[in-house]
Amino acid sequence: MSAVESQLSKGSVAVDRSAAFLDRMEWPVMFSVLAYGVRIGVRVNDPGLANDLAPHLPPGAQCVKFSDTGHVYSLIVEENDQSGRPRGSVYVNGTPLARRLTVPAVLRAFEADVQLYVAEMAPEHVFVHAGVVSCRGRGILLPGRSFAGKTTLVAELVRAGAEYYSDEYAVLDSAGSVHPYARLLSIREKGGPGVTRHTAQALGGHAGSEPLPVGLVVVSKFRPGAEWQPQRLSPGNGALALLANTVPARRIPEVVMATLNQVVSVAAVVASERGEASSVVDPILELAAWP
Amino acid sequence: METYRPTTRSTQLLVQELPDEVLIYDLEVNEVHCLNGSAARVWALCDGQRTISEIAQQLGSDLEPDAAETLVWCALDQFTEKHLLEEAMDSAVAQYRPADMTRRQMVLRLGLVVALLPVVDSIISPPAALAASHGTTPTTPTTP
Repeated sequence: MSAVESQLSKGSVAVDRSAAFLDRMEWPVMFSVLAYGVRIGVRVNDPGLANDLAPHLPPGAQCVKFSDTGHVYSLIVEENDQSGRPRGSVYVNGTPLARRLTVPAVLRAFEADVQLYVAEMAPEHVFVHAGVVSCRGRGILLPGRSFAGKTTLVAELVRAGAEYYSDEYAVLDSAGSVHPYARLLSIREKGGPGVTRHTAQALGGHAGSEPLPVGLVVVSKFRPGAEWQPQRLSPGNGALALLANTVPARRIPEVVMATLNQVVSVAAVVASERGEASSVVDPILELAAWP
Repeated sequence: METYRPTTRSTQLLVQELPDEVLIYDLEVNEVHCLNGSAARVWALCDGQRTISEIAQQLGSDLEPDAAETLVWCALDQFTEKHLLEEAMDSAVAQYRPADMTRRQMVLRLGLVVALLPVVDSIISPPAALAASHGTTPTTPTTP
């Protein structure tokens, strides 16, 4: 039994691992991830798990030599459970994010936290929780939190010919242009908690790659049977609607307000409840065609 | 009432001016306010130098003087509620406001000119985690 295995078998019985304990462990795989100007450290005790990490990193992330930048994830595969499946844990700086879960659950916890951390700390971009597509060279933002149905709407818009930019974050620069955050579309399975992941191509569309000015913001939430009745919001109220979904709103409010001001000064903002996504695709694309 | 000169709060506020609105981020409580055109014009005139009637006159609206003052009080009422005036001014609004001018009465008086109604819309600025998605991911450590 290696020193690490010995540590793990002892540690897995009961206790949380402090940051100091984790630092003393031997890590066969260590690297840093650089995404949107944010660097994080990653340590993995199982090379097999390391091979599975790539799809869980932010899009466009680069893996570089490990350096401790004060935000280090430690992923640990531990002993098998009673059914013989391996269990794992993930810590950030010694704080457990997920402990003794299945490996896929550990990877999801890792992915969620890494993406949120990058979204909050990115130095040159403002991340708004929103689906994004483009049409006629301008971005369409669909702000909304979980279960607002934005991924479904993004998928329908892509099927209808819009370019895919993101189903999670609108990444805005200081001029108010939106950049791709082209992770795979995560579409929830009907009646279950799981998600399936799709490329834009698999939906019959394609992904955009260039930053674009925002032409339209659609503030919308799914309600069964709701009628699509878009109302134009003022720029100020449009900025409020975006800010309510902006990740670093509290950390860098001045930057956020200036950036959102850039967006609403050029984009139309409309709001409406909506029914099925397929029923609003054409009206949204028509709105986006406004001069 | 002629001695009352409202003053907007000068600390812990980030103010972003839009073409016909004002966005205000209150750093003390992480609230964000959007003042519509009427409210923004009153806001700009609350410098501690002007009385209510002077503010009303300088709004540049076509309203009668009484209606213009009602509009100013309507805005001040909302500024007070959102703590956008200097602290001492909060109680001053209640002290100097005409007794027959409740919020409802103000709105009724201005009801025929809805477009002129001062409105302050507000939201709570979200913490990062609240603005995030990932509904299927466990957010708390799970023990066997």
